[in-house]
Amino acid sequence: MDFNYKKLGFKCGLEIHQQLDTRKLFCSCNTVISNKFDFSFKRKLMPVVGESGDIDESALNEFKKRKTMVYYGNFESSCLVDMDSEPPHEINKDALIIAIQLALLLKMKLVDEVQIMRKTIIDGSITTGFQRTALIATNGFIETSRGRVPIESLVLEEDSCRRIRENEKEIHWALDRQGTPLIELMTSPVIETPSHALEVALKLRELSRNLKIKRGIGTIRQDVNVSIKNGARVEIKGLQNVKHMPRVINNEIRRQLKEKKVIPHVRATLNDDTTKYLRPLASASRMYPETDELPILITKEIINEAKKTLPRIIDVKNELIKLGLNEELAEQIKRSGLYEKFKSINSKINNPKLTSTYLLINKNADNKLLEKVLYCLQKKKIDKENAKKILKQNMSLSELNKFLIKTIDENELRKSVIKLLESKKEILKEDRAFKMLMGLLMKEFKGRADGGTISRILKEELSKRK
Amino acid sequence: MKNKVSVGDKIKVKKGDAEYEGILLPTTDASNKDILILKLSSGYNVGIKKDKNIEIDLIKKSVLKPGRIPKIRFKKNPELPNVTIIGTGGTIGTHVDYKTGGVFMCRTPEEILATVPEIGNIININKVINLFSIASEDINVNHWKKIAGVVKKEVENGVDAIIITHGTDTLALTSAVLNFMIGVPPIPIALVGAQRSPDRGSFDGRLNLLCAAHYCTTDIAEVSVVMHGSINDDFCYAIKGTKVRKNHSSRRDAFQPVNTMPFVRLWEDGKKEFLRKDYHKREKEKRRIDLKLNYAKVGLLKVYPNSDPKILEWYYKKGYEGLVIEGTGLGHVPGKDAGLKNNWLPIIKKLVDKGVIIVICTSTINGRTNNRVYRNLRLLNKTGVLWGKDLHAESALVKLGVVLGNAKNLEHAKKMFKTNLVGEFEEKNIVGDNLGF
Repeated sequence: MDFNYKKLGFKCGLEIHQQLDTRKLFCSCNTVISNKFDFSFKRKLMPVVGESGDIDESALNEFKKRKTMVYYGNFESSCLVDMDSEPPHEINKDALIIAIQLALLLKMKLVDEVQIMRKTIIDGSITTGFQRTALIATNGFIETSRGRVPIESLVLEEDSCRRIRENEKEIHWALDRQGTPLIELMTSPVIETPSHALEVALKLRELSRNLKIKRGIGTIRQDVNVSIKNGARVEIKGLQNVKHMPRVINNEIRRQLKEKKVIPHVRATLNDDTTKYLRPLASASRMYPETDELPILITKEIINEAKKTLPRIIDVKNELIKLGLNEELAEQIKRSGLYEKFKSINSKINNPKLTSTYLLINKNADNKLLEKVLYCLQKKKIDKENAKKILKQNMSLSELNKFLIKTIDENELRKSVIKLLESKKEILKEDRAFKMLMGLLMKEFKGRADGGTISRILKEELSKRK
Repeated sequence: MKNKVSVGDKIKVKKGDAEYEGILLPTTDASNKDILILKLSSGYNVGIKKDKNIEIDLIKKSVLKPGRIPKIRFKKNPELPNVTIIGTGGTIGTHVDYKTGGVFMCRTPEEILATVPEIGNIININKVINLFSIASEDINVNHWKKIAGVVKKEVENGVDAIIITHGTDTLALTSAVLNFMIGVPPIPIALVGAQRSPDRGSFDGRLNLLCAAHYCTTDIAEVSVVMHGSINDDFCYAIKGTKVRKNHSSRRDAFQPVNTMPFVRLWEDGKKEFLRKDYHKREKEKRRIDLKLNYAKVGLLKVYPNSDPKILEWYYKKGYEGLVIEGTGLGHVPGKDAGLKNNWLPIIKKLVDKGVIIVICTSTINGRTNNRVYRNLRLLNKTGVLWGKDLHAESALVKLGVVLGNAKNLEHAKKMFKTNLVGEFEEKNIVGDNLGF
């Protein structure tokens, strides 16, 4: 069931976290997830005193109950940096360049000097007690079917640990994921419908897949912010399958409509695409400078380096239209992922419409077979129905030969025409002589000569006899 | 800049088609030239280059006020020991202003409590004396003298224990030199530092401070370093100040005992496991400390293949009265077979004869020197050098500085150096690794 989203006062924005396929952001460890652990250690995190200084006996007692953090590491994916036992190394340049590349693709404004920050995280998911994070660019956009959606910010940051298990006294974490570079993209809350949200998420994913990012389960995490008129911002986390986004959003709208008063909070996605209460919205994060790192000047050199290795992103559909396809065919070719195949075959056939039509019959058909079929079609050496049959069955080239029209030589044809005219002199007197003769010839030469040629020769021979 | 804006103002910066709104922060020495630092409402800082195209508009004056340290008050518990905390600088004993990112020293007991509130359940913080606030690589003899002076005064004032917060780089040297300047104290004195900053949840100084507080409740009247005992946040060791060394540049368990056992293993919850019995016990009545504050000009050097012994002549010319040489293995220096230019023995002998005390230690840190098992050692011994035995080179250095500074004459100084003044020499080499197990 869909809603009238405009009337609902629907407001929606996305926050997308994408892991990069590089080494760790502040050390040279790899970012491979494995359940083979070489070492473990325990830590107790300090209570962080609020800015107001609110620590009293009860807060202290609360702290005493706090769980011990147990971290598990693998020598390949963790070192002293991950253990908070060594200052961070210089920021991973590969990751910085990928972040700059994505910013360029999203037409964002790069900051002049990147300031690495510490964002306080006290749940134990990061050994330091803070996440290193840096704003790289602002003010970009992505084109969608409902117009431009602004991308407010692009942030490069380190990922946190994986939670393995928890008991009454301890929380167990895997260090392998901690420190993996993440790009966080935040859109403006201008998304108009749930399916629009999906479109934006897919477009951003498609665009970032041109860069060196990780793929697979857990490598991308998308949060959705949803609110409706007279409501409040609710953040939905843990959306695993992006395709379920519209369903999850619609379920959230339904839920908010039932509530008397919506309070801002964070919800977690459940398997059935509904959500459950997770925690209140975090107040503005406590962020302060990472004094172990120097600020990074975004120089012309580094931008040029990013540009040099930036893959050329092509608007496939637009390219297809430029090549002469109509909107519908262009969309079909793009959606079927046949752009490259189309381009290669059409460069030989030079008939976009014909190429695309037959390409779509069987996208797995052999390239050479398709080329031959298209060539024969153009030369009228094959029947359309047969052409489709050959492609559908992805026949071999030798099988194709059986379907070729055995053409008759023009001189032979002319001889046959003359012979016919002499034997059927009586017809020549009739008004419908041409039509009748044509019918006879077509019957005789069907599949061996095309109608155009027959008709031309017949006309020529008839005119000689007038 | 067209408009006059100052640090703390909320401003809008336009540059081309980029626009930022935020609070102007002070530029740090880490930043590049001509960079404005803005704190955006998201919490992120960004650096914007000042150039011709920049437009700056003031939105509101003085939005940012420096943060303050929260005030926490604990009632003094008459049953807990009264402890004076002496701040000397370093990572520990600092507080971060989360608004500006600035770091400043804690000045009052309340400020320390704000960083480690649980400490109030273990000790009464009598007072906090901020002697100075320097990175420990900048510590010099004058700082040592000041610390020793304050310790004497506090002991005489009757406090039950003292905690000295200190940067970690030279923490072990300060703890060693205090042993020699103060002598064996009548109360527990703990030196404590932190390898990670106090702004973070993983601040290791928290456990170190708590365990130092627990150390203050024991009867171990020794100058000790109290730091993490493992990579976990589970326990600390209190290790005699003359026999401890920073053996890692960044790990929290960097401080390890050298040729000794720690006095005690201390847990956050107050559990204590005593590892030795031969420590000096707390003295209720004795409150006098005779300071040995003079410190001679002493130096430390190392031999290695191809090392040039002429460097010793430079030290002599510069007026050094004593030198510690880290020999290889059992205390070797290159001899005759190293070649004429690289033979250290004649020049060592020359300096010893001129009245310079030369102490031989081992560059292996662990283990003790030997003066006879090899011919070269016997030849070296004949030159008249002193042996550091199981004392590691940095401790030998500060002992030599204090001994030479306060002895009546050269012979007295030599005798003092050879004497086990505060328990710095141990007769026995312990079995096992640095942790003594």
